[in-house]
Amino acid sequence: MDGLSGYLSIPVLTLAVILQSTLVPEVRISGGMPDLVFLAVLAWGLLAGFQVGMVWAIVGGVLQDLVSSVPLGTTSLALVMVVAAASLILGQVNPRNLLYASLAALVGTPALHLIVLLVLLATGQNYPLIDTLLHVTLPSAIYNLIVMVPVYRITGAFYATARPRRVSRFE
Amino acid sequence: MRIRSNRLLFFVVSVFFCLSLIALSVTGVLAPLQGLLAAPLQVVQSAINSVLQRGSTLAEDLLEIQTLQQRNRDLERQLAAFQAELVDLREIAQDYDRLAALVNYTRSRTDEEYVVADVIARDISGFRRVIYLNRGARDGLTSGMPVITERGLVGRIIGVSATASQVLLVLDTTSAVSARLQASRAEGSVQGQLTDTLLMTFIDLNATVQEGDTVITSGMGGNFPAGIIIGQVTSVARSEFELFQEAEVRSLNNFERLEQVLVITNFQPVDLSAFE
Repeated sequence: MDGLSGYLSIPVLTLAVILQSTLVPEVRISGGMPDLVFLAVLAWGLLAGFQVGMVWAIVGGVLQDLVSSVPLGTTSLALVMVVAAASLILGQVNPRNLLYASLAALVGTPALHLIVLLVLLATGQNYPLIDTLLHVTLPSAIYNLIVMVPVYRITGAFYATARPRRVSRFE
Repeated sequence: MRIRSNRLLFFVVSVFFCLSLIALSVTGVLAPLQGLLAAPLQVVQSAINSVLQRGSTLAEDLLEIQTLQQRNRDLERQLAAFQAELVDLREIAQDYDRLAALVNYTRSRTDEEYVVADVIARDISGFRRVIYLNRGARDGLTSGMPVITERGLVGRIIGVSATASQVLLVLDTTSAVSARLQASRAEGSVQGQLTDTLLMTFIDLNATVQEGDTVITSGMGGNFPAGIIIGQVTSVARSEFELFQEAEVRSLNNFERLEQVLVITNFQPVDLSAFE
């Protein structure tokens, strides 16, 4: 893991969290809306690898939890698990494929929400699981499937400029 | 193998870290740190929300402007319709006033029969003072019938078609009406002038003529019934070297704004040509 990638997570994910908490609610359909932090973490994790993905998941989750009402670390835990699973599963095929990334966003959304709900349940906050999955998770998953395309493109372009390059010893 | 074990270790450490965070957060230990870290984010959030709120308000205002513009157009259309209606109603009111005045006049002269006619045209030659009425032979009108309003004599019919008639106004220079001063009973002849005034001529030099005297038809000559108001004397011209005195007479009718008139239908002009 290169250090630069880990540091980049803070400004990039801070921006994502701010957009998530300000602009994104404006496009809410039913209870669902795109999860920019999740998509950014997933995209960067698929592009940069497992360990970087873990760092981004923890940072993104903490930042998101700072502006939400869930216990600090809840979203981090969910992101760590989903990004780890996606990285491990897609690592067997092609982690840098846009289609796979979008499918990972689609499948990862219910997993993410389920983990958060379970943590909330464990900490004494009881939410109607089925209703939440139906009215929040399902539209969010469809949203994430679609929004993952531009997010992955942008993240890919950003990653291409930020990643370390091989330097010839003769230069 | 080593990579896998590294990943597993990294994953386990990450999960443990997250669970620790959750535990500390739930117990409230992290509350001060959370507040500290959340503060700058909340400031930015607040600023962006403020901008969004303004943008939203602006968008609503723009939509409102479109709605208001549409409403304004609707109201303008309604206003135009109401104005047209108002004009119609005013016309009706004025027609009512005129007709009421004519009716009052006819009630005061029960011996005469009338047909009410609308003025539909005026002679455009500029030197003839002729108007056209929307009543003609079908309504029983014939040439020579006097035309009046409640304000006095207008003229007489000089031509009739089936549905219209032509009226020579007393203002026309070819018009001559036998007249009488109501106060002194002096007689004369009222003729039209090119200046749209009337001139009463052939008044006896000894007759007393004063400004404001009422001039009425005398009935002499048989062209008009007696007693119809022609106008009022506005000035008198008397010279010792003339055989008669003259008086300028102003009709009470506004001939430029005549809209409805009465035609006396039971008066037949007397034909004196047999005695010439």
